[in-house]
Amino acid sequence: MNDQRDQPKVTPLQDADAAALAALYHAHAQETPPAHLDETILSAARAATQQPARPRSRRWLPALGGLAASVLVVMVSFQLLPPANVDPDTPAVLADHAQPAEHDAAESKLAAQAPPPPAAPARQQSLATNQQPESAAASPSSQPSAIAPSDDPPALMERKRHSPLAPNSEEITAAKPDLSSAPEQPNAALDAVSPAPAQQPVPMLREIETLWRAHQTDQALKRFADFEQSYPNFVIPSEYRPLIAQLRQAQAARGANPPQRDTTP
Amino acid sequence: MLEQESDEALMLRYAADDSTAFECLYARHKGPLYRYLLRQVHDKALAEELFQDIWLRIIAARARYQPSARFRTFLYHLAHNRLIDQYRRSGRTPIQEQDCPDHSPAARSWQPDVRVENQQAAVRLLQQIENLPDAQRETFLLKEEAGLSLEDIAQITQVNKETVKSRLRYAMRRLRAGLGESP
Repeated sequence: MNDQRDQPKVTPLQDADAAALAALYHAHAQETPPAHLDETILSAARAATQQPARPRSRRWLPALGGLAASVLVVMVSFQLLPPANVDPDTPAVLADHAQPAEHDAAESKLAAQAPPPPAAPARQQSLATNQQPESAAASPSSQPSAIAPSDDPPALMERKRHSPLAPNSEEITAAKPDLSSAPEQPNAALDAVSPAPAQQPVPMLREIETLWRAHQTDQALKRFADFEQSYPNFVIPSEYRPLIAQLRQAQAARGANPPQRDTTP
Repeated sequence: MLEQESDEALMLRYAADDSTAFECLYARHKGPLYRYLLRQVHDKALAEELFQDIWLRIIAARARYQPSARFRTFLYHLAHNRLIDQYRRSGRTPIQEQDCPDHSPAARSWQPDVRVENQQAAVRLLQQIENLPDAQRETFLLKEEAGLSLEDIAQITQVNKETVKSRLRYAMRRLRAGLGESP
């Protein structure tokens, strides 16, 4: 390293100079963050305490519950399917009668082999069954944390994309919903993972972005309006500013007359 | 009561849902952290964005916080990483990758006793800090604003202690030189 060569010797006078420099610096460097920023951060901190973070060790429970419920639903649907017992030695006379049964059997096989259509309802149901005990218990400790990575899967996908420093990438992968398995019902998949009401600002923005990208314009605008109401002083991170501009345009196009808020602080 | 508690104790209290502990912690560190960011990015809006992001990350990480290291080190480590991230996004060379050779003239005539109260000297000092190479400026700010030890600075900036000492020495030398040269 260059800066390890030719190191000047520090004399006592220079030490005194350094102390004086530091004193001069401290006497005049008094900038503090603006009050609106204090307010935003402190309100976010208070909001986080209202939704206690779930311990890391128990974050796999919802995923496991969802998986178990999905397996259960698939097994039950297999049980409910009509039997496809076609005797290969069926006489030709009965072939016409057997044909619908064969057709049904083929359809059931196809239905069983094609996971996408049943996957979305199954997942919805599994999530619903998974969420039911939590809501029934009505215990604050069972509420998902607004900032816990495993509780907001679409937001986490975005977080993974935007934040290379995010500490829990393995959890993000584990909690990622299989949206591709239900292409016909994006609404159902998104509805199933809708966040808790009091949400942190950045996850809320991620959710809005996800909705917007999924062309859920109405919902995105609605959530954006909620966001603006909840966090009027939030400094919009630069990566979300194009999105916010698009949302404002959409709001204006709908004649919503949104409250004007500057994205550049 | 809370004012007398350590940063680590306050953070643990906050992890246990005591938001007043966070308020105390925030009040303690907001000024130094803000000035550290402001002097590093030279852009008020960007400094505010980074400042907000760092605190939101701390809020998000409260359940995972382990007092194995000092909170102050944890905070500035986060800030340093966030700055590196920002530099990369904006195409600037991250701090660690920059060497900081010193070609400034040695300090000549600045007399601290005479000028320490001088407002003009303070303005010049802030300008000189802005003109320091990134690595030297960061080292200076981590020492003066965050009050971190050389070991802590070395840990945060991921260089050895001798490099930190050297950067600090060169920073001081440049600052003295800048003040001495100014009218």
